[in-house]
Amino acid sequence: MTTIDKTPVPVAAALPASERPPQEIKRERARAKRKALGAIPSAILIIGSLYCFIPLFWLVSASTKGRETLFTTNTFIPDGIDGFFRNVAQLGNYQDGAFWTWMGNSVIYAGGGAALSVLVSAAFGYGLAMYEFRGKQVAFGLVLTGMLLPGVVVAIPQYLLMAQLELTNTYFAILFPVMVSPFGMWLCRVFAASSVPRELLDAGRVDGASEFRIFSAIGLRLMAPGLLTVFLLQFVGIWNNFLLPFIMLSDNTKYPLSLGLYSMMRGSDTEEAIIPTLVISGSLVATIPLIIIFIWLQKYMRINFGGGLKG
Amino acid sequence: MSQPVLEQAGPARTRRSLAPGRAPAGPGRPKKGRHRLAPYLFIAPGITLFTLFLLIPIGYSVYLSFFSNKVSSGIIGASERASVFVGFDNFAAILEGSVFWSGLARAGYYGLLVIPITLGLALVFALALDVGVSKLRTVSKTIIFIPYAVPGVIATLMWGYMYHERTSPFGDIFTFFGFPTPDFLGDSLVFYSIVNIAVWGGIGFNMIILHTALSGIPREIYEAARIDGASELRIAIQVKLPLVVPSMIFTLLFGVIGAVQVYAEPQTMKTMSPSITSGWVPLMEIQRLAFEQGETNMAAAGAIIIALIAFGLSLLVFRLAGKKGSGD
Repeated sequence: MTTIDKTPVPVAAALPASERPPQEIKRERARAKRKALGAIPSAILIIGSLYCFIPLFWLVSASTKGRETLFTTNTFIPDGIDGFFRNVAQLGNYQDGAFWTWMGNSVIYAGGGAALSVLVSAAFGYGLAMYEFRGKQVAFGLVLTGMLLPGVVVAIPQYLLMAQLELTNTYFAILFPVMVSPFGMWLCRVFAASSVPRELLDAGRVDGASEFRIFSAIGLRLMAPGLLTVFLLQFVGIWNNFLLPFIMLSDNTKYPLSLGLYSMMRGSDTEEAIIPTLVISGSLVATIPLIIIFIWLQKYMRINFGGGLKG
Repeated sequence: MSQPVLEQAGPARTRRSLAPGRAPAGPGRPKKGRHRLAPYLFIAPGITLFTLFLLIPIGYSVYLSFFSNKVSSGIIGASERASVFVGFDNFAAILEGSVFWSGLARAGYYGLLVIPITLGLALVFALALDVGVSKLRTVSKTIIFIPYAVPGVIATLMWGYMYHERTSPFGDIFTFFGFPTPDFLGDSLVFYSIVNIAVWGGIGFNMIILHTALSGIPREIYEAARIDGASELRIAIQVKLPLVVPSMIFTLLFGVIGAVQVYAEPQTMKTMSPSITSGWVPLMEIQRLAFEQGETNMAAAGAIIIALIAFGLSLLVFRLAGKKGSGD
């Protein structure tokens, strides 16, 4: 450990005060120390990055391995790009192209579900943040409670409800439940309150715009960066959701990627020699779209929770 | 586009438009009347969906947990299935078995490990990011965030193959140093192997939340401390840390709720490790009861128990937060 000098004052006082004011000496010492300590945060970040990155590098490397080399060579050393394409081609042949169907399904569930839920949440958050009305606290309390609710409590009855409506095994079995996101609704309220000034709404009213027009023209525009965050969170949440599709879907062709890969893994007891290479390369292909979206949208991700609990 | 003209025709409108400035102290009443309905229309879709897909299912869950499907032979001879109120029988039944309890204990221990490690590392990385801006920091922020984008199932499959003796890249490393390769998927280690997957996937999200909170703090606060000669470490602990407590509470809350309902990782790991038994965590047991055993009512009771635990822990966190909040 670097020693942290807590009392620099006596040292500074020992020097002739006329030549160097103690303030300046103190500042200089602090600057020097900061320089020396500056390496520590960088070292921490490098270690963290390695921990997060190495498994992904392994995934890339292992997905280039064929069924022989996967078990015989070190999986940290990639085989070559053609190995990866060979695996992807095999992946495409798995159960008549089931993998790409799953990919398409995931896009529908995550893209469609996130878009719908953002619309619902935006209107809700805006309504809650911009108006005073009877029942406001109740609505806010409901959403807060919903946020704390584990998904499992609703999963079983949701299934029974969907079964009653004969909607299990359809796209709606996933799209309906994911449309309501208490967390998204709550975040939208926070974003609306912090980014849409009420005076602007009054100005719009003076100009004679309808409340809905003010929402769509002013509210949505100002909330846009926040809505992007909600969309991203919802997209990832749905893309990664496992329990809901696991419960709702039994038809292979309706599966999203996570459930598809899981089913592939489950079947691997019988065809052990070939499947691992497919599961590994499938995992990589399934992750790439999300990583691209993330890197692209990351700069918009700003989730501030400070003081967001007040209604 | 004729609408605004029509609205202007109203006397209230005209008066307001003519009034200088916004004049909220003036006759503001007519404005209220005009959009009394608007907020309800805005929240209507959300509330409707909330009711349909959350409230009603919860109510149904509670109902199920207190009833049981009894098959009774009717007078005519044909057997009938009827819902019978059984009080707390379902709760008693699920709590009688040892599986649910051991699952709960495991999930509790899982949370006790995953939450502090994940949040601790997330905080350290967020503080390290906050020291200043550099290329290294921008890149590492992205890299540490990326695992959050990897679905739990896929993260488990990926790590699972890295743990698996036949495909593990670590085997060579252990052999090189003369150690036996540990059996990451065996009885004694598989639990910690799953903890590692959860930590790996969870750091990034929490780091972003905490870093956002940190970057919202005005720089002048640190400058004052720096001029007084405080080290970066002291600034981090004594100035920055207390300021991110509200955000920490939230990450803690999400951590607790996540731990209580851990599911995808162990369920997927079960396909790779025989050490994962059925009902390994509460959710696996609930899922098994509902969809493999047909014990919907018992499963509902289990789900209610999990929800109550989640609520209890959340309240505890809020309580703690309240105490912390009143401190400063």
